[in-house]
Amino acid sequence: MSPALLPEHAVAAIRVWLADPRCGLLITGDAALRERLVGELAASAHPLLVIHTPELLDPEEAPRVRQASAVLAAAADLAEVPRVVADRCALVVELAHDPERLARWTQPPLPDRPCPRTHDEPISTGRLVALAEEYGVRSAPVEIGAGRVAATAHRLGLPGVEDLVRACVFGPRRTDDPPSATDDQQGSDDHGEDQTRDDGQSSQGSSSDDDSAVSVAAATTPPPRTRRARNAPPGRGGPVVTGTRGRAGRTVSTRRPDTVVALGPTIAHLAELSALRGERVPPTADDVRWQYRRRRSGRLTILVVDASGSMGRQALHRAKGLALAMLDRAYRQRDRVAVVLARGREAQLGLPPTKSMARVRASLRRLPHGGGTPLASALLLAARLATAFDPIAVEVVIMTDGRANIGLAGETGARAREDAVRAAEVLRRAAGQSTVHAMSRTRRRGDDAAWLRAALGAV
Amino acid sequence: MTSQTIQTTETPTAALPAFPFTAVCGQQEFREALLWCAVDHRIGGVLALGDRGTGKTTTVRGLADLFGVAGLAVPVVTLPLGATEDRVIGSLDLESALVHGERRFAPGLLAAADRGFLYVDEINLLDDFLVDVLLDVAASGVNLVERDGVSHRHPARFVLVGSGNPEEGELRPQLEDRFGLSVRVGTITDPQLRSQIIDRRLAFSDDPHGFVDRWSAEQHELGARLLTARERLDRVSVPAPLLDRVVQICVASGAVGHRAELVMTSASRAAAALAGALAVTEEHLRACAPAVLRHRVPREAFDAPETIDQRIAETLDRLL
Repeated sequence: MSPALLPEHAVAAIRVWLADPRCGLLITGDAALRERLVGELAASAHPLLVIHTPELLDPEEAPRVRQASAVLAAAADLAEVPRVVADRCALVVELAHDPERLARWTQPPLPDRPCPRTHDEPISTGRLVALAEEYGVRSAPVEIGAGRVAATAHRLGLPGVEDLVRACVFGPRRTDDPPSATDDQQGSDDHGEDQTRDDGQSSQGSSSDDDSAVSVAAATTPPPRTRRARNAPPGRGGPVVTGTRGRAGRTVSTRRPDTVVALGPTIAHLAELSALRGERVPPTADDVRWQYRRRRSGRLTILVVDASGSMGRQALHRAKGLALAMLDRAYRQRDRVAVVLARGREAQLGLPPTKSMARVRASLRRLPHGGGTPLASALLLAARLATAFDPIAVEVVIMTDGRANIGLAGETGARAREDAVRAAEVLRRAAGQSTVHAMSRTRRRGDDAAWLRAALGAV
Repeated sequence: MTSQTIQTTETPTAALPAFPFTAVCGQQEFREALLWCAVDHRIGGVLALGDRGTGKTTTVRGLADLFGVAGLAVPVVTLPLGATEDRVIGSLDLESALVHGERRFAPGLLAAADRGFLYVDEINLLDDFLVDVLLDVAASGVNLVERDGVSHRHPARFVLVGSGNPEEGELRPQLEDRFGLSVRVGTITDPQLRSQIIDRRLAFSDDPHGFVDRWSAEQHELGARLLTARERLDRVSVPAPLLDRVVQICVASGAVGHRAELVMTSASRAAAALAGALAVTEEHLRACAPAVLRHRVPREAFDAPETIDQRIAETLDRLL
């Protein structure tokens, strides 16, 4: 790929990686550019582990990734990449979709043109750690990788080593979490939250210009852990149960509870026996092989929390308390819990199904609220989460005042409730049990959420 | 699925030396806990929970290397996450069955780990079935295999070292209790230590042999200390008042069961032996009490790890 196609720091990052692939390179962004670049780079280093789809990486592969001497990975977005790969790849090159650059697409590969040697001092490791702090990055593997990048870039005589480390190592990993001290204020108003997020994004764009502001903030409060919530792709890494349903599991030679006849292993066993004896062996009952079946275990509790403006502080407070009590129960039963937030224009996934109670609690504590009640979209989101599980294993708990006022396409009024009723029917099929807690702002009204309860067949 | 996700041109290379145990920065408590278990295997293993990329695996590998330096024949076996039942507990030796028609037992990882350490990375993600096997064997010290027409029994006394990230799944409480000690390995925040980690790690991967040579004095010193501690262990006495203290601490912190008391006594004894003392003092007790109690004190569903540590520290301050 022509270097003209890439931003300057990306070219520098790739040069560094080519010179010393041990630091690991992750390519994100535009799919076509990514594929092409990976194809070209994969041929360049010899002992190389290429990870084309890190988001599908089996947790069992993690040690191999960690120990590989050189790693090249490609993904659409850094947030999708499991932690183990993201940590292993110090350099992150983002290929933005840029038609203008694309027009200059040319054939010749990366030229190895000599660079003017600079006489910069090498970056000290102390400086690297300070940079990491500045971006809110705290991860020994990434810092070690940064050290390698800096050393290699210096050896190659590349100019602007620090800028390279900023742009391609720490910059993409910047955490834009607001400092933890403001957690409590966060929920109180909708705009405040959006504001902080916007700030984070704008500073991400121009990574090296606004350091002073960032470093001041970083000095006063320690940066929180990275925002990337997903360590493993959903649907993986969870416990499995054995039973007579699900995918094939262990094969055993005697019949045990919860096993079914395994045809393949039985035939393989008979073939082995026949090969051993040199003749066809008539099968006996002892030759039958049995197999366990495995599937994902556990129940899923989906909390749908109406955090709209109409709920009011008091009701929201009660909803939180109720949610925490439910979590306590889910924790004891080792269930997974997911949180769906109905607020604003469209429901948000507050938390994907997880077993980590620490994360559930944190997500509830900083519950943002305000805005309308997109109940229909929240119920559909809950139904989508539920499809990964057996309907019997899913329990949905809805905490709402029942005033659905935003429909699926954003309409308001009566249409919103119609949409919600239709969504409730979808959810009813996907979830075995639903509970609706009516959270009315005022006591005098009757049951505002009765219609929802009826639509869901809930208790 | 593997072939689609991962493509490798890696060829197995000659084994590189392990990162020296003494050169590992930080993780003081984890390293100490491992050393105590190395002195006295009856302590019952270490559970290290915490963030990824904090050098847990490096530390355990370094321990294996340290045993080599000390001239101890203590195997350190790593249990891979995807290990099959056959590989772990052993199974019919297929070759001798097919070629010679004999039913022989092919030992698995548990046999290899006998009288040594068994390290399970990501223990919280391990298959439930394998966890049960590990628990059983670790408790009884014997691996009994009844399968594929083979009946075999072999000793498997090992120190179980488990690590994992609690954010990815929690460990069953029964399994937690089986571990004698529990330590938290967090990401190091001290900038100085962090730059030291970068420096050492880069120096090591640039010139592994040279790096190991530079650390050989420290390694030999620690190896010798470990050797004498193992010899001295039987002679280290535990004074009666100190035993009372142990019981008081365990009762005050609400640790369930006698295991806490037993583990605390043997861990403080190992700590004393390692420090070159001939009697256990309160100082040794204080050093190992948090690791013993951390996973045994009652906790609320939403207690943060720090609050538990703080509670233990308060109890210790009151009693010592």
